[in-house]
Amino acid sequence: MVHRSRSILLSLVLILAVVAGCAAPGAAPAPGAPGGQGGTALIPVTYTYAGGGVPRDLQMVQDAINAILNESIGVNLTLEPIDWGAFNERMQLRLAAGEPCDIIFTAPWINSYTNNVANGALLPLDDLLKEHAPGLWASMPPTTWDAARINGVIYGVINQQIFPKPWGVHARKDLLEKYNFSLDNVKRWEDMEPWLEAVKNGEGITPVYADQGSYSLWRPQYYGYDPLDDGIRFVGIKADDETLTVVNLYETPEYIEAVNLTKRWVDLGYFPRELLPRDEARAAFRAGLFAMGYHVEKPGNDVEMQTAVGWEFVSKNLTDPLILDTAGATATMNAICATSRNPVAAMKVLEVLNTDPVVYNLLARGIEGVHWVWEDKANRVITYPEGVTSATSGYEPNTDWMFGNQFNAYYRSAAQVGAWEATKIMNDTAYPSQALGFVVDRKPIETEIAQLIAVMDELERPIAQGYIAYEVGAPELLARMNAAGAQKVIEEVQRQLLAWREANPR
Amino acid sequence: MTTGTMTPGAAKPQPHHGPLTRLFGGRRNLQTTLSLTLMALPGIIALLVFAYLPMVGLVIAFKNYRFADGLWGSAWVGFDNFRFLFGTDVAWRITRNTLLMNSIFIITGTVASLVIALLMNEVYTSWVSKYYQTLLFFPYFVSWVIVSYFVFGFLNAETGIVNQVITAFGGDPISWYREARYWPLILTFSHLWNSVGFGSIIYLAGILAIDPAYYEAAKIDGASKLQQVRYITLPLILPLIIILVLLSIGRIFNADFGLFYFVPRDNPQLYPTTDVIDTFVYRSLVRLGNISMAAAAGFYQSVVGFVLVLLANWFVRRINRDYALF
Amino acid sequence: MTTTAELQTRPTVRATVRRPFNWGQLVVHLILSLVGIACLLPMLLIVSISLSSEREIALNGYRLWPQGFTLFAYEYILQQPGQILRAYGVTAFVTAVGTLSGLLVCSLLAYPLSRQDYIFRRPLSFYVFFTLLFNGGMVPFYILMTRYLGLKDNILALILPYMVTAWYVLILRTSFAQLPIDLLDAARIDGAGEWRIFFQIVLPLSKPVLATIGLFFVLRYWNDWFLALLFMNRADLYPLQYLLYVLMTNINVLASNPQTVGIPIPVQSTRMAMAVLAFGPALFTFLLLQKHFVRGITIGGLKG
Repeated sequence: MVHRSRSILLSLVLILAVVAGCAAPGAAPAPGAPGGQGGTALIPVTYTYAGGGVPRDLQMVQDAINAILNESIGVNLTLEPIDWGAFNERMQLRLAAGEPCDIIFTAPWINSYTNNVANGALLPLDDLLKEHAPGLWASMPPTTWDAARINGVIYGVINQQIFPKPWGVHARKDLLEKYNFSLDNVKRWEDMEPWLEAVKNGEGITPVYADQGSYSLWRPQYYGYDPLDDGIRFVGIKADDETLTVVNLYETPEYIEAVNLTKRWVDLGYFPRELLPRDEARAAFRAGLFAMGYHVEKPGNDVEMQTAVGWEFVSKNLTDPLILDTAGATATMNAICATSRNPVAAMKVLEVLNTDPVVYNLLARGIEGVHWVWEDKANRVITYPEGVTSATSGYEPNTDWMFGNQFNAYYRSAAQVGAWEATKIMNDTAYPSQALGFVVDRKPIETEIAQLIAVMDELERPIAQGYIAYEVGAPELLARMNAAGAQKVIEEVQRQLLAWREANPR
Repeated sequence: MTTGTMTPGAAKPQPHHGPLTRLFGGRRNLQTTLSLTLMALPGIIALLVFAYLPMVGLVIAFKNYRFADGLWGSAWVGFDNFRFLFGTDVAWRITRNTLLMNSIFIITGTVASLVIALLMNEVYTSWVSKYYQTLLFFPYFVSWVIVSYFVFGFLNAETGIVNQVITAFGGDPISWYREARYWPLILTFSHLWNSVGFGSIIYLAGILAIDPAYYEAAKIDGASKLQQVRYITLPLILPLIIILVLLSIGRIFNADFGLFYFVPRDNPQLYPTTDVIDTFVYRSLVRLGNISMAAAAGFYQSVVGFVLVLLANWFVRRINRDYALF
Repeated sequence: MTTTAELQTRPTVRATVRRPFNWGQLVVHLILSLVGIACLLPMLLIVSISLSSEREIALNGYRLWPQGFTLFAYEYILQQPGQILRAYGVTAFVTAVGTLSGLLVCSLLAYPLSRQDYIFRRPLSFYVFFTLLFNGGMVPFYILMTRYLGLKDNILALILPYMVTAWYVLILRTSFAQLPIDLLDAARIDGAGEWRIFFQIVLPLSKPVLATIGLFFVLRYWNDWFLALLFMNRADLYPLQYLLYVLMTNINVLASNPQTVGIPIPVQSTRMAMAVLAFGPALFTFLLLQKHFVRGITIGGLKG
């Protein structure tokens, strides 16, 4: 009997232990509850974004920012960087769970903007913008703001940076000189061929860089198309087509031209046959196994590529005219959560981040004298303080384009001076696509899109990569796409596009 | 070692007990049942909290889940979320690949693990045996991403070791990453390499638990090593084999995503043999971020696995009810 | 059917009878060595690549011996040694607590399920099994863990969800069911309660399977990063694998982020160095403990 009662006691203890671990329902502290009741009633605002870990000096930077914000707008800002590897997953779960948040980073490619809007997770911003962020509102023309509209409502604040996609080439300077070639006369991809032939023979390498994520000369904007929705991939309109006729891009003569050229380059040995993952391909580039890349050749890209792969480059944009489309303009945004408890204060923070270079650079570059010092104040060029390097710096997020208007950022090197002005000119002079501001509502065609992505991954990629000739692969691709509902998607997008135009006459 | 059903006290006369006591087969058994239930309770509660409570989320598969509306507020859509799985001719292919590859994995994995376990048992007293065990466990620590590097190192067209060997013997190099037909074999090898250590250690534990008296008796009767395996070892670890196979059958519709996605390097030309339900769902939904459709795919996999296990379990029960899962 | 007394007096066969050398044994060793080498080679490659320069790898592919020897990858990861050490500490704590409590709770649950005379045996087995197949998905799990259990940024969030795993429970059940029932009956006749039988007879007799399942628990807790991805915002509570995962994705983002300043990080060797840091200590502990581990199995094997 003694044993038994002791054993029952033991099991009770065990159960209690388990229950205690599970209990405390609803005990979670309400995040964002006003802290520091005594004294000044600062409004708490949290800014959640993606970053490479928690920087060592985050608190110092946050304090420096708050020293300004406390005074100017009575806000106490909490910076909450989430690791890149966790950001998308955790943000989607938080929003799906209805957790309160204030300002969040959102984009077409991570923490999806359209998805968040469709899920009702973001707050409409039109009124807040006009009332509490006049400087921010005035910093961009209405056509740019239109790009952020979904069904006529703005849900995200666009961060100014490069909007159009200037597809072009960057070629290694040493090899250009060695083979006596100049980019001045290069107007199209094809014009590179004499040099590619020389490099291939002279260096014994496959000259053109490609990786598993970037594997084709097919770039819609280079060929004059607005792809409407990067997630759907195969629909688009000619950017200047006033009739807004939606086509299957894979049936257009431009697509055929692009993939034929890719295939030609593969066959001639200019373009890799076997694609490496990006990290390995980059390593090969650094090791000198490639001679040129083709990318978004925005101003200053030659400098950026040099830091990335170690060679000196000459870069040139080959896209003419530049096209401003919705995806390009909305590539990086900050939004306010529908669950935010202090939306007005959050909007005031966005106003400051986008219009006050001092606060913006605190966030993007850190504190003067600690994380950077002036090298050339007149040209806004900074450098590291004595004894600090990029590796040892306590604060270096490296993501200007995440925090606000990038044109307010201080330059990292003298070679970049003028890049922002040049970029702004590109933004302002790019040809606005006829569909600028239109966003596809995927909901009615989501099943078809899911099926089509699978078909395209399998059959379109080999064609785009230049493994299979268009004439050989296209019939099956197009047949299977039609079976998977391509026509329905085109019709639905066409219907939405015309309805949008009806509501938003040009 | 039979698992008899002799329960002490069951045969004794049962005077004057309440209905509940009688239901539990007498006071002695009532106490036994109580004790046993108490023992199980922490586990039952843990499963209730961490496994069953979240299962209310299964409704998401039948809803158009909207963050703002939450679990209960979102609209019901019936089976709409399941359509993308069955809408194309790919449906048949991913189902076939998943079932076929997993069946191959179950069979080869079980056989290889058993053989290795038997071999290790043979040399168990030797000083090297523990090194075998440790070595066999190494691969379990290696992620599929890293395995994909090695496989590529072996098979790539330019510097790959395999092609160098083939050409050294006068053969033509093979474009491994373009030819789908080789991949069932490559994937099976990769899977075996990764999992054999894990599987064999379970079986080894089972074999070591066998009463040595059986082998003694068999030796006296003059049984050979193979006969001992055939008539003692295998029958005695049969319950373990059956339970492990039954459990794998339950997961037969869930492919090992890392293996099928990273090792073939998500190469479209290999899809005819490497595309499975999990990779398809990942590719279709990752860009859409549609929680409901992902839930539908998971639900479908669970239901099919569930039905298959019920069938298999029913079959096992008919042969020997002691071996059944439930 | 043997009795308790017979079992206990039986000579320990494996330990005392030395088998004479034979060819069969040699073949067995040969096969096992080959399999062992197949498992070892990639590990050596990982170490070699982690010490090679990026350039040499790009030019020559993988070699078993490091080419262009460099410690850069390790230096990079270990820039903040405190962080890594802390993560090792978190992982060690989670693994130890998780494995011990998991083993206890799982075997407590498995034992009743193994008893033919336990009237809830079948429904409860089903209750356990069902969780193997069905789960509610991440959103409800996340809501439960954060809103109702308040486990965000709590180290228990890394332990509790894996504590009861249907797969382990069912294997334990199968193993318990094979214990000689006479032993249990004999104990019962001596007046031992279920708890005493469980702790004094069932557990000691089940050392091989407990060691095996314990090992699985260790591997599972040691290798997990997913729970931390969902629930850990505080960097000081990052377990090792998650910290490495985070470092790796950060490097990848840096590598493809054109704005990056400073020296590019060699991704491949860094990834391999991380693998070494992740499994190195685990393997080392495994080798150290193996003597005990093996003995545990052997003793259990002889008694059972």
